[in-house]
Amino acid sequence: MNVLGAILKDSFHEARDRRALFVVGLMACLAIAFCLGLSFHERDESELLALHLSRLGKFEKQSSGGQFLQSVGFEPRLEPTRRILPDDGFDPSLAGGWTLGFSVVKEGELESLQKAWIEFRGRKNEEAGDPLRWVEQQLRVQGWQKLAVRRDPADPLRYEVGALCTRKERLSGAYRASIFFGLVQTDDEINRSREEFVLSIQLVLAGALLGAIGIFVSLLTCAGFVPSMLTKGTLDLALARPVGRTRLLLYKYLGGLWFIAITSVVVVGGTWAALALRTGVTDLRYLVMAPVSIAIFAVLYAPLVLVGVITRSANVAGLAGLGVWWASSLIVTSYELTSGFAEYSAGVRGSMQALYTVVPKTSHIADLGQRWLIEARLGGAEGVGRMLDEVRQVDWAFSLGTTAAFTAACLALACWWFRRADY
Amino acid sequence: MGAVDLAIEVRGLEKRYRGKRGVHALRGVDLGVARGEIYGLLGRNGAGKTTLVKILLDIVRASAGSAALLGEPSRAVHARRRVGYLPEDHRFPDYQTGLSAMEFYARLSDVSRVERKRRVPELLELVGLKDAAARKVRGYSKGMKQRLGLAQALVHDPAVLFLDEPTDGVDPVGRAEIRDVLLRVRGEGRTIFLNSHLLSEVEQICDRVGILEAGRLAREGTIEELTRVSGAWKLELDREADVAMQERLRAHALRVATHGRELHLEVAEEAALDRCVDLLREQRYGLRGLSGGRASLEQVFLATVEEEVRS
Repeated sequence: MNVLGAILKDSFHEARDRRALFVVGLMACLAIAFCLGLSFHERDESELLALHLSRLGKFEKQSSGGQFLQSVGFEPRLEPTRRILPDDGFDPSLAGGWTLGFSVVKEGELESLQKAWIEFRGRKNEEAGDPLRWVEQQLRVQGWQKLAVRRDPADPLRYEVGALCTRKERLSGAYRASIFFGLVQTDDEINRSREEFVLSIQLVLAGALLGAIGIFVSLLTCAGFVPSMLTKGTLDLALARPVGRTRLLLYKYLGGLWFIAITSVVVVGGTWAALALRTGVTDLRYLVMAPVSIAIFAVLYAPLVLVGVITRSANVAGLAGLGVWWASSLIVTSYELTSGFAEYSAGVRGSMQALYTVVPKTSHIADLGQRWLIEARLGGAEGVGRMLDEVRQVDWAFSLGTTAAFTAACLALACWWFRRADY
Repeated sequence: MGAVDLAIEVRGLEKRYRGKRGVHALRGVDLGVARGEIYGLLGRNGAGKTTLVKILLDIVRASAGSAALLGEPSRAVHARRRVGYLPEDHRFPDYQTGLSAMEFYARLSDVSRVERKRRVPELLELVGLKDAAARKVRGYSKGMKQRLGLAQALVHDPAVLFLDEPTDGVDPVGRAEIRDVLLRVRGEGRTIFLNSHLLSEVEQICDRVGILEAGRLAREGTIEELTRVSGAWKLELDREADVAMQERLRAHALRVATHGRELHLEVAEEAALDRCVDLLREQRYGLRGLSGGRASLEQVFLATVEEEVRS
């Protein structure tokens, strides 16, 4: 433990001296600041019913020319919204829903509103139906599933709406969010619950952490660890100690992982805490992204160590690490998109199959982490399909097995080379 | 000397480096250093001194032969448990301070926390770096780095100490300081194996000396044995003896070497010296001085190297 402790501590000192700590620290701060700058607002269903009703006079349509808006003077007098009671006389299927009474200024105002809407839609010849059904239809568009609109028999200017929604995230305007401390407002209709919204942000962060930014920075940061140990004059000091070469190299590899592990824990933990603070969502499962990112780095760091031992150059080792990452991503993606190059000749198919078997499949590890996170939070394939643009069919045992074999082979080769060399 | 008494033992050691040039660095070296002895290995650049030390520390692998440290094969990891090493041109990582470097190498040698707390400050004080311990090594002078190198080699209380050019690039004051440290270390009963170009240093410190030339141990013995040369004479001439003259002298002398206007002769009997002097006079060389009995280590070294080169 003494030796391992010394090398882990030394790796941290080295990273600090190379300003790597500054770079990853800056990244962590930016990610945490982004999360702290998020805000999420949620409206009550009762508030939403009043809002949707007051919007009846605001028409909107989408066409190839873009979005068209028109506002006509419809300003109903709204009464307070309340829960539907059994003796309100609404259909029992609306039980648990909301009722809202509203009055128009003059008789026939709803009919006029309906006609204006038909004109706005460019259907002048369409016959206006029952205005109460039209109001129901308009509210249904806003996400209410069960509706009933009726006239007050005692007052010709007064109407009553009964509405029920079983999935609040379907209601238009139920949620609003802003980023960068309110500087940028997201679309009014994000149609995602607080949990789903936080999950989508966490997936974006995980994508950045596990993908382009995180891996790129991590590989470049740690590229010099092994070559610096192998510097002439430095290595002699270490090799003269009672530590075997294999142990020395593997501990150095662990030193790189250690630094990235600390960074990942800070970034994932920090963003989790910031999101929890801003949104109240405290689900701990997001923290699984830390070990997932460490696992991806562990795979890509192995070829970097191998090339570092052979060339003793930080630049070449860094480029090799990035090269393996990009090349393997390209091979894996091409193989999956072409269903194993099914339409090509047997020779091409065989070569690509061999390549696909050999290369590390880090994107699958990232997928596994993301899928687990989504399934744990939203449940099942439906949630995964909703949250991810692309859902790949992966043979996990084969994928993780070959990736682990690639990592082990690189490390074994690096150790063999390091053991046999004269320094 | 029995094998049990030897701290360092080398038998038939050979090293041929792979590669285009295929340098044959060591050609069957046999050597033994007793426990508690200070052994100096002399040799020109490229003679194989560093290769020999690196093989003993398993930094370089021997092509043939065997090497042992404290009775253990040198390739065994635990053989290095009680061995300290100050490499030539060593380089501490720039990000380390004097203190963190000492801590790091102590931990690599598995020194316990309690022992580290005691030894690290003690050694930094011994080498005069106590006040600079918190400074980054990149700000150290060559002499300070050399002294830190010596301290790290001692941090785990080794029984055998390998020092490869410990005073290389150090100014005379720093050299004297390092020599003082070595003399103190010597008093603690450690075995020291010293590779050096500085013959005066070796002469002052070492009990026994070996001269390595072109991968072979050309001569070996105590300072007394090596410098005590019966029949050795130094003649001071008015000009340097030319090659033809040296050839003529070799008919009467066992060994002939020149060093500027100095002519070193080794003869079997004094009559041979007289014949050599006669030959010089015949060729009109002026004799300005004549002394004999003991050669300096430098003379021995130069004569050995010259002889090896010729052979």
